[in-house]
Amino acid sequence: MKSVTFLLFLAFSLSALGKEVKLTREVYVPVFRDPGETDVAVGPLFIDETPVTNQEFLSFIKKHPQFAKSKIPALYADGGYLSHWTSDTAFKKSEANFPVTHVSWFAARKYCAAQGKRLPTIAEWEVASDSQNPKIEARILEWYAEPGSKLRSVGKEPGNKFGVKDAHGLIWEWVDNFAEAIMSGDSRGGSSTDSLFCGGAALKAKDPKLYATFMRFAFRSSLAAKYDSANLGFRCVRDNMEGPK
Amino acid sequence: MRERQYGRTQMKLIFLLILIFSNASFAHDEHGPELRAKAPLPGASIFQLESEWKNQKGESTKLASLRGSPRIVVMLFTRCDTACPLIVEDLKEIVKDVDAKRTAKIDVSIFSLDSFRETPESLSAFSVKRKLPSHWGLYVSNADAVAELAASLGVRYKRLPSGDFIHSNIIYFLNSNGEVVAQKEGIKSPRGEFIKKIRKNL
Repeated sequence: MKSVTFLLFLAFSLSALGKEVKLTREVYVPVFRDPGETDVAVGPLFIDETPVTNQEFLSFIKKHPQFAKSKIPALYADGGYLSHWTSDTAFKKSEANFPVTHVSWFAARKYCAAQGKRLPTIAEWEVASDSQNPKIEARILEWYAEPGSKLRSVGKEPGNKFGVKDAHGLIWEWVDNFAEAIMSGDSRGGSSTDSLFCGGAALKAKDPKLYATFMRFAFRSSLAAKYDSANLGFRCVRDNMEGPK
Repeated sequence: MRERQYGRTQMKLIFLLILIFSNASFAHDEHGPELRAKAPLPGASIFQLESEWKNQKGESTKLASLRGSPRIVVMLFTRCDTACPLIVEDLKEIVKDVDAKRTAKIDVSIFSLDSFRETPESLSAFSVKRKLPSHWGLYVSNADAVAELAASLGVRYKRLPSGDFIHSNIIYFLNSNGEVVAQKEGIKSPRGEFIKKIRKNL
């Protein structure tokens, strides 16, 4: 009897891990547009239901020890990389299902590749997170305003209209093309100032939808690939549509 | 007595030979491809990236093959007709200044941001059109390789629907191990500090 309960428990915990959500065909409407930039088709793809956890990242580290915090080259991570872990392969037990944070773009990218996946693009993340839904805008902004909010286990809140969980209110997430968010003026001789101007306009527009999107845009533009932070994690997407993993 | 002296001379000779040889192997350490490949790269070296690139002659190469001499590095795309010609002129001016006081010519590597339309042929055409010295290397690869190199250097870029790119205009100076030692941001920014840093690290 005991073993049956255990097996059920095991099956349940396994099913909760690594779940994916399908996005069939959606459209991303960029708020800030560069010259000629049009709407972007998103999908079909699978996206992780929840952000990658400490536990999941540990399994990756065990297979790819060169990404352990004592081993990772300076090119791929800053000094704060996995700084909340107690050693190369340990963290507080209570944080096993917390989203993994303090990870660099390189590490996140490698993690996804190791699962046969990749990091989502800005377009994919914005769509999957339902970020431009005016109904959740107020909540998003409220969360952005909270300084250094605490982490908790992933998957505790109900999913959005796609079933994607924890897109807002827990962590910020890496996207593959974060470097496309350009706000400094050192870009080509043309009109990179266009995007800068759009951002500025958004600030004045007092349109909360633009404002939240602008915040994410500004955040991405401030990132470098080896950065990490206490509330920056990631999830992966998968193009292979041959059923869930 | 005589024999002892002869022995001493011989010893001296051997010592000298050892010196010469050890010196030679020292030099070999720095420049020989086999030994060079074995020394671990510094943690910040961009030569750790394992991507494959093709140069303007169509030859495949890995970044690690650039190890051994300091170089100036820039990322751009050759179809660019606004900023890129200006960057190239900036590069030429910098190189002219740096090379003025030395016999060796500094290496320059240009990496294309355009994995969609760039080819060894378009790189070669650009090299001819812009009258680039023949020892400058121009390289093209796939989108993944471009993303990683750009991320490593800190180049921001975005491909527009027209196929053109918005990108940072940054010129980097790398030491012989592929670590970024200095960078010059912006096309119209003064060159003085950058050149000073290059000279100091040559």
